[in-house]
Amino acid sequence: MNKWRHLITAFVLFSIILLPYWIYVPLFFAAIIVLPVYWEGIILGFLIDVFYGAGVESFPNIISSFAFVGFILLIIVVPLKERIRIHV
Amino acid sequence: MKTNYLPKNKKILLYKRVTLFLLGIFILGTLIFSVFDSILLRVVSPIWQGESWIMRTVSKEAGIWRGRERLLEENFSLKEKVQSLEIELASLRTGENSLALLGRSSDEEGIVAGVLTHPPKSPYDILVIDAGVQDGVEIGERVFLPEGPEVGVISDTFTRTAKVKLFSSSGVVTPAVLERHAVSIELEGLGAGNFKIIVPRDTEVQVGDRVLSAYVNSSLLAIIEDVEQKPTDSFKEAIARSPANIFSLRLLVIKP
Repeated sequence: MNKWRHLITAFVLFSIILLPYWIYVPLFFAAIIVLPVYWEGIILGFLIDVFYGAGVESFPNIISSFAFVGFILLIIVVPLKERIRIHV
Repeated sequence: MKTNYLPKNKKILLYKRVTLFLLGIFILGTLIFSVFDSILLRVVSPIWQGESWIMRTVSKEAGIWRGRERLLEENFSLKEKVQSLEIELASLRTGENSLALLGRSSDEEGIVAGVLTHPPKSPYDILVIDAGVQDGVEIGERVFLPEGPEVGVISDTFTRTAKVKLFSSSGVVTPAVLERHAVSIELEGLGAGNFKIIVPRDTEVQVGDRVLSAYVNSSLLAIIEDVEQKPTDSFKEAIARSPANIFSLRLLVIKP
């Protein structure tokens, strides 16, 4: 699982640097939702903000950042995943 | 009696710990990334420069071997040239006369910078350029296309790079002038090079009208693309588009 986690993180990072946003933004959210406690998502969110956004120096910038959205999504998703059981 | 609450409490405790852990990462990240953003951009800039160089070389080399695609590329480059000339022509008739009347000159040369990233790589209408503090770029300076139209302002500077916030960034409001009848308006950015303008219903606005910056040496900001008006509304809404194709910007000129 850890190997997959690292691979996915590397791919999302690669796509943030080189691919259009309509590829890396869905990947970013999908990784947060699918992987267990994907804290790396917050770091990746910060990278999107630093590379392409207005940075993270001021409070309004932080609130509207991908890192903040990722953080909030993680807090929501963690207990939800505990309650939802998917059996294939 | 044995308690049944323990597993639930354990879950809550675990959730609290996870939340605290995530909060810690978020706070730590805010501190680290606000300090090291310049270094990160410096690390990534060569990759972006290399990428655009590779893309240009590959498309050039591939064009030699594939006649049809070569023609398509030539067609594309000619279209780009026509677009560039159209923009130049559209921006020619701007504020030079007013400057002459005021006895001022507009012979500022500016700093030419290459664009490292532009939409759709960036989800916002923010560009990263390859000129920074070292080249004399400062926050708040105006950014123009080489053909003349103004596209944005410098929002952030680093040692060798800078960020340009385009006027079309979502939520950005820019004071401007509707050239027809010289009406002062506010140009609201909608993203992807689009703007929204709201004017009283009596104000005459037509498709193709030019929107200029509110400076004395005004430059072209946008061109009206669509005008919508409901019979019951006292205002009408116009959609304008930046003369620049923000998805294929290569060079920009920064002027104080």
